[in-house]
Amino acid sequence: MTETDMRRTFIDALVGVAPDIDPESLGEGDHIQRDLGLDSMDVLNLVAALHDRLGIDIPEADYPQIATLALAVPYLQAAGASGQG
Amino acid sequence: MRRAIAAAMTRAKREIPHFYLSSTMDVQPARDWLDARNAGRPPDGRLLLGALFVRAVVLAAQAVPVMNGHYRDDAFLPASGVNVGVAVALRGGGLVAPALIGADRMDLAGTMAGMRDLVMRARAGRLRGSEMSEGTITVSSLGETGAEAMAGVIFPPQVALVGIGAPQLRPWVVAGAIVPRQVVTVTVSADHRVSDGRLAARFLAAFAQQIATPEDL
Repeated sequence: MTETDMRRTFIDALVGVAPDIDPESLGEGDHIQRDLGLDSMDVLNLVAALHDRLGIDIPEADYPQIATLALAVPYLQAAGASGQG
Repeated sequence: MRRAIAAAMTRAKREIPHFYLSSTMDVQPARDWLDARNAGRPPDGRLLLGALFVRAVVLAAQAVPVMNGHYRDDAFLPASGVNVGVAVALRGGGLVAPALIGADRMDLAGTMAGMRDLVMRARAGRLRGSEMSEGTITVSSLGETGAEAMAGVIFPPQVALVGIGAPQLRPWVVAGAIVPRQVVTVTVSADHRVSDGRLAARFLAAFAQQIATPEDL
């Protein structure tokens, strides 16, 4: 999956969990909990949505790796390439 | 939404003689148990610490029934089951506390599934009327990050609310040694027409006992 596709997939999953987030104004470094206000249930639902869409199983210890768009895209690309999940 | 909350909270503070008891407790055993249990499970099979707290409140409410029920027409009516209200913050503002109906008949996984469903439907505005009126005790949790304690306002006609602060890493004494542990401060707000400090302390002790033995939740 290209970087552009991965960005779109992550943003779609994020907006699915928090529909009030505007994809246009989402910043690269916006933290999903501190800046976007996701709680632990939202984060779990985001991880579940990414699992459904990408087949990538993000363990709890790796949740910090998807805390921002800038972190999540390379992490998910690497996880996808390694055939995880 | 804000107006409905304001009306209920104003009534609660006007009519219910609140009193508050707090206890700070070690949740490292619960956290460690949860990490081990969640490892290797797909996201849909994972539990949150919040589900353990809700389950512990249900069991504590069964152990101390005077915290679980409704106060109507100058009398306390204890509930036969536990419909635990779960305070859910709505994105864009506001708070609702729908009840997990029949929570006393759910195991931990069932409690977690029920909470996910409630949060999802609360955010989508698809709660049932019974879920808004049949709660028998409420849990309000500050989540994984944030303030360490909260003394909340009881939702009438209920008689108790359990406020759970965000877990904090603190120096703690375990078996005579000072060690870093995750702790939470649990505050029970209770109705003095129905219970007293001794009973609220018994409730807190029952909660602490449950959260110290997560494998039994």
